[in-house]
Amino acid sequence: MTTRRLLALLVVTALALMTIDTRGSGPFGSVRSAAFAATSPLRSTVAAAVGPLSATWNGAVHYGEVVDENERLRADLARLEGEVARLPDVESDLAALREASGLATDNAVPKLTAKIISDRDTGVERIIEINRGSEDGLVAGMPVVVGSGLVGRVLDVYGDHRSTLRLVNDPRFQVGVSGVDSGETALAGGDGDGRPLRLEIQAQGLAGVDDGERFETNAFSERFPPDIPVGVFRFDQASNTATLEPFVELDSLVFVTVLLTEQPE
Amino acid sequence: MVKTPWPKSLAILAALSVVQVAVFDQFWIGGRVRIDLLLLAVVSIGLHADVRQATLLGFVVGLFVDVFRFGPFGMYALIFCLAGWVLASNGTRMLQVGPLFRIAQGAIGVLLVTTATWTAAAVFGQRPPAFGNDSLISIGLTAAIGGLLLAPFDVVTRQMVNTAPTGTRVPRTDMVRADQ
Repeated sequence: MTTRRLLALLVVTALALMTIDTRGSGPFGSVRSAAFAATSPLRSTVAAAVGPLSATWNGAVHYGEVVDENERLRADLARLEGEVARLPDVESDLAALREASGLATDNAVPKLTAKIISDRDTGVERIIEINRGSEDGLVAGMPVVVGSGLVGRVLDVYGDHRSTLRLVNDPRFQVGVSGVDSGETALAGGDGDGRPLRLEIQAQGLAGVDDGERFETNAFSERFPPDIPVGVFRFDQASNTATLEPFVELDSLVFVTVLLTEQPE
Repeated sequence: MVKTPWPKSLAILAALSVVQVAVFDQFWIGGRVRIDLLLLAVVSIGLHADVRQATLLGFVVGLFVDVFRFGPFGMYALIFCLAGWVLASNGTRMLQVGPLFRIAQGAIGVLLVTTATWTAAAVFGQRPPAFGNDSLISIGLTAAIGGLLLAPFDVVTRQMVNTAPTGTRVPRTDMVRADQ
């Protein structure tokens, strides 16, 4: 047999072997397994003996890479630790966002979610800024709510994306409310931070209201859509005063929703 | 006709395969290159054996590689068979340059076989190193190391191939005439 014929025969044989193996038939898998099994004791023994040498060699050869990777991993670890530390804040924001978005208001009223970007107490008043402004369609007077109820209203729109709020507990805030059960109307107004809303209600109407009754905005207010939860009725016998405990936790606001209602001139 | 001492050759190749898998597969040079004893064997055979012997031994060496590597069984048999044939067909011219150029001869041989291996791997759906600076450096390192190691490796190959010492060949004029 000439060398060229031998070469051709070997090439064809090799291609045939590859075809058989690719199709999944043939004993090649078994041959490989048997070969690895047969050499496994020797490989294990040599690996155990050579392993430390191999590790030393690879460590020496790759020392620079190991150092670089170590530094990279340290940086990654520091970054991930920072992200983990921020997780409670993220979860809190998410909960607040869900709270702000889950509204018991008329779905036909257009809404805009806003984030509170600053909350300052000047000693005279509490100034709360949100990241929405004229570019977002805000106008002074628009109601501001969260899922649990009324927060206040937009006080001043002073930038494309900046506005201030007046909260329900601000002494200058007022809103018309009605009892959900009794139907009694009243005027609720702020009485300062940490204090319930004062309630101005007619004496004869007071008799029909039970302690714990839910009060919501009523249809008599020009600025506020009706049926926005405001607070829970409380009556103090000693001081003979009626108040509303706001539904909204005004000290833990993160996200709020502005109701883009038309405002009177 | 040159006869190959098959029992001794098969025993040597089996031993080389085991040593490769057990020892040299654990060491990486520069993070990129391993010493491949069977690759050195086929290059050395190609440079020292006659064409027929190199072709057949290349095929057998390739089968040993196929047993211990993954990929289509027969791929390395094909590559090393062709490598043995190409190197043996041109090895006389290469050796005539002189023994001082043995390293270059070995490097060229290793370079050709490695390139052929990567090409075949890509053709047959395996995953060779992605072509780029890293792969060029790898193949350069492989060739350089192969060239340096080939001369001492000839001692092993000489047991499989009937050659005279120090790179001279057994005259094969009768085989040349037979091929023609």
